[in-house]
Amino acid sequence: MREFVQFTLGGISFGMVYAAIALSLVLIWRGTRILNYSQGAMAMLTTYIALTVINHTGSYWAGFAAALAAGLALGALAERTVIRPVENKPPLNAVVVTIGMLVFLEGLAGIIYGGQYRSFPAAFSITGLHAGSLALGISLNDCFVAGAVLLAALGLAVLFRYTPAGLRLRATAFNAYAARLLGVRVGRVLTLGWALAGLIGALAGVLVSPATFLYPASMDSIFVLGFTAAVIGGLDSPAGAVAGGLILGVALNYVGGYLGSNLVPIFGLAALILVLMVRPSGLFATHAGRRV
Amino acid sequence: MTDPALTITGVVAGYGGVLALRGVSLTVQPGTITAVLGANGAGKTTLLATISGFVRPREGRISLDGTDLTRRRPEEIARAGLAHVPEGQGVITELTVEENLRLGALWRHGRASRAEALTDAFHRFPLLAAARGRSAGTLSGGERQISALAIANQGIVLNLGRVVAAADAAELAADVGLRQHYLGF
Repeated sequence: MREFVQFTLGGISFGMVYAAIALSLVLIWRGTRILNYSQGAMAMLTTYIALTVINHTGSYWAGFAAALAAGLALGALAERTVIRPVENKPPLNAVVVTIGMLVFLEGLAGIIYGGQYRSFPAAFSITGLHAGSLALGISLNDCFVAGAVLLAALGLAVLFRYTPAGLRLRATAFNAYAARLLGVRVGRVLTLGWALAGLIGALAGVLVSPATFLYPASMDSIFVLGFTAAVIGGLDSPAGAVAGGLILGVALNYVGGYLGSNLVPIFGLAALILVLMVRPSGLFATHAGRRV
Repeated sequence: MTDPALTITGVVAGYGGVLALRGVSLTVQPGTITAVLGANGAGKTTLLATISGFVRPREGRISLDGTDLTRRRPEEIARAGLAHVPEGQGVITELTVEENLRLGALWRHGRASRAEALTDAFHRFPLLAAARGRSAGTLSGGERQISALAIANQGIVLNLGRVVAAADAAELAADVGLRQHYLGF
């Protein structure tokens, strides 16, 4: 029972990171019906930028802020330059372009920073917390990770529901044609959507890199699991993305804890295949399904 | 002599290899209602789509009160004052009626006058006031058309997708209180 509690709590931290990546993917999918294969690579690059700032200034939070700002900028830049031309083309074009971006960004990171594993600082203590004498299986930093992603998700929800920008984002995602008729500058709205996705992805990058170490391919497996979480929750559903991330994170932690950590990647892939076979639209989706 | 409001000159437009419009010219005078009539496949919908910016003309010019609108994006054309209300398409069904009106008001009004514009719209269209919190998808086709009109009616020119009968059109025009002109069919 004690182990069960530890495994459950321990899975939340990584689960929230998957949720963040899933949230970015859902944002972009809803707005442009494109799956951004380079979301993880973008997060990797912004984390390198954070590390550079941290090393120069000695301040973790300066690096944190720099990563978020870089995420906004990188997302917007990607949409304006390489994504805009393929937004209304056959879906395969966007697949090729985003995979191309993935390869480009990882190569770029390798050239600039080299391929060696770098350690990335955690925001708070990583020693395990205890309730009395019971080891809880989580640290203060884990609580920060969960809280940060939750805050970001809530911030997005508020943005979407209560602001004019959020109204435009939702309108464009539902019906870009009618939105144009109503005078909405759809191009700018899509750029904003990609910028926000870049922001959330950057958050995921700095939150998970203390555990995974930072190297050009460090976000690859995180991306795959984030994508899995998005599929579990339904690519159209932001709430589903968060739920999917938590479900996946906790489930994989059970696998790692009870069955052994080398089985985790296999189970992650198995989960993806299972969802795609049994309920491809995800647990929380509103529509029937989609092809990818 | 005032300038005609909407001028279309020599417009050639089509889809892929098929030309639907081959040199269409048309002028809509201020304060008038112009109807475009034609058989199925004559190019009426293409003409409206080209004026609204969803189809790029290969040749020709479209201008509103002297401002050239040829080949501009649909949203820019809407913002220039040329509102398009296609049949069944003017509202976003996943949003509420109020959200649709608010969306339409976003670019027309600064934050201060937006609330006033909304109240005004609800006053003129009590039907919309009653449905304001409901999803626009729950409205009937005709009600959606009226919603779209309410949103668009501050435009200088209104481009309607379809008007069912002449008597309805006159009533509709009277209801909407159009002060200027609309092109429809």
